[in-house]
Amino acid sequence: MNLKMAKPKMDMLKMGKPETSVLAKTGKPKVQPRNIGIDLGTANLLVYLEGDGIVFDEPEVIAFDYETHEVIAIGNSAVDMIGRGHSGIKIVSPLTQGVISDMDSAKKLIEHALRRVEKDSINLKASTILICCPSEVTNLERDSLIGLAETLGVKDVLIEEEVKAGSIGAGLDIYSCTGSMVVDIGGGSTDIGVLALGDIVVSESIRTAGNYIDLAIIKYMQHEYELLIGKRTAERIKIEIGTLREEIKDEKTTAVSGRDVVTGLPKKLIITESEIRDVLLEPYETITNTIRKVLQNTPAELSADIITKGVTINGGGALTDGIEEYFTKHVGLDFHVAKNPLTAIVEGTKILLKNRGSYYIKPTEIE
Amino acid sequence: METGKESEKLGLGIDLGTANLLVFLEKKGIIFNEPSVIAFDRESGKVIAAGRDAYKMVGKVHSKISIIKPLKDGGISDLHAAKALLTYVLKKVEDLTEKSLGRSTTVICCPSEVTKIEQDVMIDLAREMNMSDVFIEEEIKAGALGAGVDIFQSKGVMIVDIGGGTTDVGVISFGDIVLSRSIRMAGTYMTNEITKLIKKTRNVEIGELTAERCKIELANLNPNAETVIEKFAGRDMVKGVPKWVDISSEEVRKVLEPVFEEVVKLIAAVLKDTSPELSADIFRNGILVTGGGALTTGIEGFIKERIQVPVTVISNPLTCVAEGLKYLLKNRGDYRVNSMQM
Repeated sequence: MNLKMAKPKMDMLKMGKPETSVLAKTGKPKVQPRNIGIDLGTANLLVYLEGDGIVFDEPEVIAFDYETHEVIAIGNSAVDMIGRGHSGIKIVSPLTQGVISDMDSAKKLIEHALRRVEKDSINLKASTILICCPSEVTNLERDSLIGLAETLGVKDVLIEEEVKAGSIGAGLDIYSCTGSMVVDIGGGSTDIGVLALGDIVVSESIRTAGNYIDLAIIKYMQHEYELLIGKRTAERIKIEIGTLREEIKDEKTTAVSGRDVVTGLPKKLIITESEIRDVLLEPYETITNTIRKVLQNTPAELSADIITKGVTINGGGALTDGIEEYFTKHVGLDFHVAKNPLTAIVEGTKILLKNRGSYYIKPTEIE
Repeated sequence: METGKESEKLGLGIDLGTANLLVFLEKKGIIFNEPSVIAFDRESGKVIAAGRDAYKMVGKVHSKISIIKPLKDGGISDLHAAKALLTYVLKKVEDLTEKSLGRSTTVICCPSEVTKIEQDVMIDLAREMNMSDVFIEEEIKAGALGAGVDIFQSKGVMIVDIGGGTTDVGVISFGDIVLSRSIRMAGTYMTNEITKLIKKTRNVEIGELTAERCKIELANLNPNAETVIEKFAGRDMVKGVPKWVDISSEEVRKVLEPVFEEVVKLIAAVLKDTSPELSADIFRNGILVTGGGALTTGIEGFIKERIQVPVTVISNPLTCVAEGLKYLLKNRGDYRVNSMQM
């Protein structure tokens, strides 16, 4: 079954894949340098290419052939293989908890993502690349991002914080004197930042985010129902019935299937919204506490701005049902979800590429 | 400026106040009237903003910007920043470079009781900017002239200038200051007092700009005035979250009163040392109040009630010093030359 699914894709990719690498093609006349913005998230990889817009918006997963180490699938098609692959396929998520854990796979993934663009000849050597990182990464982790760009052959690398790019992408005017606050609940990390005058004033990053919540759901299923489920199922449960509402009307349910821990046989059961809510409460409380911590460290003048402007929620976590009400109740400020929570960061890179991350060049001044 | 570049000398008057910087240019009038605040990029040391733009950034900056107020309590505390501020302003507003400043006559005014060293710093500042011809005058003298008082007559006038860093009280007659005193208690001090009050009574920390706005909107020294309550936002010191607080004009009055009492004491002290002949003049002409503090509602009644001398707030309290510099540039501060009639 699995083999059948994976096989045609493998062939397809092999056929479409040019034998020479991107770099080797630099001699062609069509080749030109481009500005590239990359949101290298734990869950999703988004690539922005100047002139083309967002060219890649798929899960951050890559599948290799175990023996030849050839790339079989990336993104959506690789995600379908998670937990289903046979021994011949190796599936890798190049990032864990917001930072690169497998440099080689990360490089391959970006290379393939860029190659998907029709005009596939980009002079990477002369291009500018901007990679987003969580706000509290160490210098070592930052260097690894620069290293990644270097292995791609790009010399001009900019590293910017995700909160900054995200708030620009969400349409906040961070270049004015009025402070804004952004909560970005991603896959590997939740970043909270207060921004003013084009840069971050206070920020905090925790590793409690989407993946952490998935794991919490897996643990819950194991302990409550003695049912082992995969990461994909856990994520599906979260997306389908995850909620933070206190009072649930017309309780939603979903069917979950997995393997019984005791008997080892496949099992299917129904779980309810309120159960999952109770699982979500713990990680969201951690996030709430971090929001409070950031607010504590915020200069009073900016606090005054935040109370009038409210807080914007970004990232995949923003799609959780009832999240605005939950935060508004527990923190006591106005919270609202950005209009494009999933793509905000990569849209922000568009602007950051223009002013090269400089806080005093307003993007409006460039155009 | 373009025509007759060689022959004409520039006349420049600078009122470098703790709160505001005003620049007066002969034939053009006041070319700059904005807060004395400057913002630098920490890494490159470049000036990012000055004046009003920089003022808006106070208390809101990230680690890449440093905001500096070059003056403290009426004296220059950061010479480098003061120079940068002046250079930036002159360059931006009138395109005056060091070269053209070399042919200028400049008058800088200072609070009454600054030390010799503080005065020297002002001159150093001008010299560093390549201004060859500089002299220092006292703010109250310029203020009186700017208020339209003919100080060159043998008539005593009393001026009270409540500025940002200092409050100056002086008696002027025959074109110069007979005696003057100054205390370092003025606008900035009042703003800090308001911040302290909110911290103490509400456990909420408010920013500098908010406190200043609160002062401007709510300050009323008239005890019978109707109480006004306004909302201001700050940070709860216990929980750390942003919070609204209601501040009443009554509370603000209670904090500001002691400060104005000090001002009254200072006026009384100056009056005590004034010769009887001048006292008679002052009683007839009244006390003139200038500076930002003069905008406080009810200040006339407050002083009058305690000193029993008529009090007038002049019509242009914020710009009178800079306007008065016009006359001082003409006679270089010489009391024998009545520049008002020139």
